[in-house]
Amino acid sequence: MSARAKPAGDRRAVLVAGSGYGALKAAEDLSHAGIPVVWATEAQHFLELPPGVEPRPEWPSDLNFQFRPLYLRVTRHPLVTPLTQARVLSLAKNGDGYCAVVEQDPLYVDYDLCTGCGRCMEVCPLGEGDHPPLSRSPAFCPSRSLLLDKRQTSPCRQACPLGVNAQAYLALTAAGRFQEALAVVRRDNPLPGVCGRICSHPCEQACRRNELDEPLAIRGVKRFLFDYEAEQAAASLPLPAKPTRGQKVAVVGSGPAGLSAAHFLNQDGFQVTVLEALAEPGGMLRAGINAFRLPRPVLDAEIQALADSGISFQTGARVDSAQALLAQGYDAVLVATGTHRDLSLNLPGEDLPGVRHCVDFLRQVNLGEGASVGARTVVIGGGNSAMDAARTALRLGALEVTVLAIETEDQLPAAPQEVAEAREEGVRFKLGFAPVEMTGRDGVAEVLHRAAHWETGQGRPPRIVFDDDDIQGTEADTVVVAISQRPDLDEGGLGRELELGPGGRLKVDAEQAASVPGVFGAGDCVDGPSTVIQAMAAGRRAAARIAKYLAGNHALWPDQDGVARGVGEHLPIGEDRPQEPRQRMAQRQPKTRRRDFEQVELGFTASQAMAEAARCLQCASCCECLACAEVCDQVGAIGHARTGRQVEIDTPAVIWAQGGSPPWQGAADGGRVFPVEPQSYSADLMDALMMGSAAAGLAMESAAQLRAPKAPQEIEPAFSGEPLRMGVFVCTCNQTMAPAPVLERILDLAGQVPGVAHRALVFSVCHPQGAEQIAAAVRERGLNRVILASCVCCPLNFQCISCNDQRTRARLHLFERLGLERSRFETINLRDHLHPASGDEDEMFRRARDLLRGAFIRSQHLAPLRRGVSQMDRRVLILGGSQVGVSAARNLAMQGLKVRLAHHAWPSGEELPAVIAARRPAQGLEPDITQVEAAEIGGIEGHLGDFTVKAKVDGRWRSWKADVVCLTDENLIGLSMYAGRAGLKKFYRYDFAFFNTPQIGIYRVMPVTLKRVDAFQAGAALAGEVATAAAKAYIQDHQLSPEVDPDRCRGCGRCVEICPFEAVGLKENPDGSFTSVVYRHNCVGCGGCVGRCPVTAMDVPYFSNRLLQEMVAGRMKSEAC
Amino acid sequence: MSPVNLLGIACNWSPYCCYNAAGQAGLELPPSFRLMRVMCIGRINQALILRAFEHGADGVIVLECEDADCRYGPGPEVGHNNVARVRKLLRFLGIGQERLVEKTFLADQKEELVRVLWDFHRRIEALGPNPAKARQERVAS
Repeated sequence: MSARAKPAGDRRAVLVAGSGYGALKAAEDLSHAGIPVVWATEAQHFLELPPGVEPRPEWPSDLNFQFRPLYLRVTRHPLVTPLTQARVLSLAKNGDGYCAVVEQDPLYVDYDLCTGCGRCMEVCPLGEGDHPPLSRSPAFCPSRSLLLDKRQTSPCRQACPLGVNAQAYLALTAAGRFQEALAVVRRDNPLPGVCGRICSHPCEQACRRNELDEPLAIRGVKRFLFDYEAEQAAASLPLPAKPTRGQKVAVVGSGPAGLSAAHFLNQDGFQVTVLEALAEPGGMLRAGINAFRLPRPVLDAEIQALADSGISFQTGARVDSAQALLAQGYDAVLVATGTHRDLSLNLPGEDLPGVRHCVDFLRQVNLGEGASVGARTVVIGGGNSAMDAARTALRLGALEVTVLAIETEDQLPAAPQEVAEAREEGVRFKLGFAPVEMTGRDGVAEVLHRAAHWETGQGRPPRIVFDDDDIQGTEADTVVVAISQRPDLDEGGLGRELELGPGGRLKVDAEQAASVPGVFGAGDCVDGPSTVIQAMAAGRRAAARIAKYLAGNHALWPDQDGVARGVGEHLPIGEDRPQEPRQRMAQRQPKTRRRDFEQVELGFTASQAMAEAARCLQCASCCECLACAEVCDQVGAIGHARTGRQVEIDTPAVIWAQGGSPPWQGAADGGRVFPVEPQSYSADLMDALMMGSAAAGLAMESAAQLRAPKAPQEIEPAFSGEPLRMGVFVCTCNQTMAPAPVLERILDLAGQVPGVAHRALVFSVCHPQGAEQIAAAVRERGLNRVILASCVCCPLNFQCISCNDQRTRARLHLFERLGLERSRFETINLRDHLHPASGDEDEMFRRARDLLRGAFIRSQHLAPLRRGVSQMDRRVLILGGSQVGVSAARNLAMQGLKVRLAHHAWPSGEELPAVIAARRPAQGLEPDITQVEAAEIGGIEGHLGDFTVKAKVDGRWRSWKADVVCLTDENLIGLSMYAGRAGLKKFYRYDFAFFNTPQIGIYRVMPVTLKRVDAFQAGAALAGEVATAAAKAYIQDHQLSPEVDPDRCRGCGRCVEICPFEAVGLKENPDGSFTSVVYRHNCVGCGGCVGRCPVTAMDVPYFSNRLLQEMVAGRMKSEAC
Repeated sequence: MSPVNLLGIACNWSPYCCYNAAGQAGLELPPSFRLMRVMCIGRINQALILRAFEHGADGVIVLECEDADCRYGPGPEVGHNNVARVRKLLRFLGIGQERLVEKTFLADQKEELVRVLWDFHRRIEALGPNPAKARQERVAS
């Protein structure tokens, strides 16, 4: 994992709530002063301005870029836990501080792992749409980490009993990715061909397109996907990926419930045998559903695919005893025998010849057992089976088919499409009638019926109520009674050993377990007649329970996947979204199709399917097709199933930078809640930053106890450069860096360079595992020079404006976490410059070679970085007892620093101004502040961590030692300003450090600062800034500080003149000449003095003049590497 | 037109940020252009710029931050100073001062950077190879 400690439960830290520059400054001061911070914002990134604040026209256009280094330093600071998309739920008083509860939305893209390679965006089927679910954070955000917009699960998916992800396969279909789309269907549904034709499609009923025009033809698209595959190849299901479990499961019945259960158990590694009583598997799909709705080749192909995936089928195997199966060695038995027995009307004449019952009738027809009907056929019932029976009768040659049902047209339980198709084919409907008798002599001749309707009342079953006494008759040679079915368990042996419930249905408990241990039930034989999709869902549910019973893992297949996921409402239906009718599927003409059992509907063409799928509103934004998770597999940043989390923080003080007031739990007590008001942005940016610093300073008073001293990091001993053993690592950036052949050529090229002892591809340099791979190779192979061809480019431990999170992270992993030595690494930025748009593979290789050539030259000439460390003693000297000075002194004393305060101070040779002289020293200060009433200051010498201040107190000169000096009265500012350096303010334009002076470690309060905030706040802000330096136990020198060659230096002083940091001085030699000296503690490593030196007497050892010259020479050589 | 060699010396901060952003955006840079990055333009001394011409650069462009933007302070000032001096020397040497230019950038000016580089490329192309190059090199190029 990353260098940052993973959040764990309750924690002690200062809570910073909100975003923007003020919050950033507060978090910076706190973390750099050694205090842990939890920074929570509802925003997507930390520079988002607080609500109601607009950027001001006078801010420079690249302002956010300028903030980038600071942003990175803070968000990647080991003491900062940055929480985006997080809100403070409650704040309650807790002892001297508070208890805050912060809730964070699920982070579908892990900020610590995402490398920003962008492959997820490439494969996202919605990437080109109006609302791509994946987006990058803005360009100025150092983390180019991706954001995933995942809303509440789409209604189609929620409505599907099996939870099939319709949104995803529609998205993929619209993108023309049919194979992947079908794989998405098969994730939840092993029978796409069947369901693509006969599913009752609750998804379409739930479709939000209903609000606009017509629902998506989801079923039709699914059918297309299956048919499209069937044209190319045999249907196939994924083979079980898991190691096979030893346990065996028998599934009794091969209808939708049985097949679904068998599939999921098989996928989980159980050995599954399906036992079917009939001669062919399929259960009601084969026996009950007509071939013109579900062609047999489709059903056969699906069952073959199940068999090919490892399920065994035994047909003609009627099971009479589940216990016998258990005795045969099956570890569990699932009874899924469906409902194959017709219900009777129990009316006179029902036993006449010519009166048939639906399931029986259809089975005879469908299994080719020979069935015939008379010229006039009456079908009793209004469900889908009745429609099937009526249309079958037509196809068997009936001249006149009448459906007799109690329901009115809009109450008919059959699907409207079925009713419409039946009607087109010539079926007549007599609706609103209930049969009362069937009459006839040798066979049925007439059905007598009366007008009737269902009466439903609360708490009792519906009953038939006749409307009048009028009895009518319909002539009939054949009557098919199609009024529902029941299980036939009680006819066989299963009913004797298993407990049955009402209607002869198998009784199961909440775990789908029947009365005999090891025996489970699912589907229609348990629930009564239902739909294919419901039966399949029941099958999967039972499979999960069986898996739990046998293996103890029940969370394999949630009963309905995805329902509770996502953040926020569905995508709104835009007003500019046009109405578009749904695609109509081609159908054979009614008069032709009623002659045979061939398929009625012909399916969508590819262009129809794509056009239809493109109508999808993509309600949840992210469709969870999981294509992104697949390409992110090695990186592991994307997790669609992640949930949000709550963090409880024990915080001594709160910084509130988002306007409004905290959500108090209990009485409001804002005593230690320090606001960074959005109004503070109204004057200018510095005010907001000041407020941030002031809030941080105030919070530190009580948070100092959380400070943990940090010892300097252990690093490897400096390496020896001889003999050269170079390693070249090329980051593939999760295969997005460049085409594989280009990378191979780069590696080959590296192999030809003398001194290269190792070369390798790394999947991601900024990933923890990538860094580990590099560290292992460096150590095992003893590499003393490493070239990283990635996007890392920073040679140092500070981040410049072109730095980004990936670079920082690579640095954190390699040098801080894994402890490799920084200066043996040379890094080049391939990432930004091997853009596919920029040319073909040869051009890419040319660019890479060019970049590598530079790296080889640099790598050979780099010297170790300077590694000076100085101890700090936490001594702060405050000169000037102004309100600011006193406030800062008290604050710092409370933080546990050693503070000396001189109430009245003046530089030697000047008078103490009357205003200050008249000011009475503050009373009642903390006793641990050393106080001096009056001091004449003779001068300040030294550097951060070791200042010597000459002070004359009571007529005697003393030397005060201090790590940090603050000048808090206006008359002292001159002590920090050197002649001719008044224009230095510009240097701090983007350091946002209002108290800094050219001398690092000396702070001063300018009159302009006091216009921004009141003196008390200014004191706190000063304390906050001072603490970032003074509270440290150690400070590190700048690793790039230059050296002077005394033989070349002629003492011209240009270097002294150019350095704004007082890091270069002149030393007088015994012969009266001068030589430059570098004060490394003041140096910021810019190299300005080196560039200014007219005689190249100065040099930076790590990045030397020689190196630069070699670079220039090398760059201009055309071919040789 | 004969191919030319251009060397860009870029500060790590704003110009390099623009350069990376231009790469990321897939903007095309002149084929003749080579970049050398330093942490601050103040780090470059006059000798180094002259070296570039000695090694056969036909043009050198110094890419720096705006004066007020320098993170350190002295960078652009040192840069201006060095460029002005070296330009004089180039004229004196007969190489021509127009072969050395400096440009300043803000961090979000990637298009501007690309435009400036192409302009420079065209100007140097029009001037032809650096006359200080060895004769055979000039003929070859």
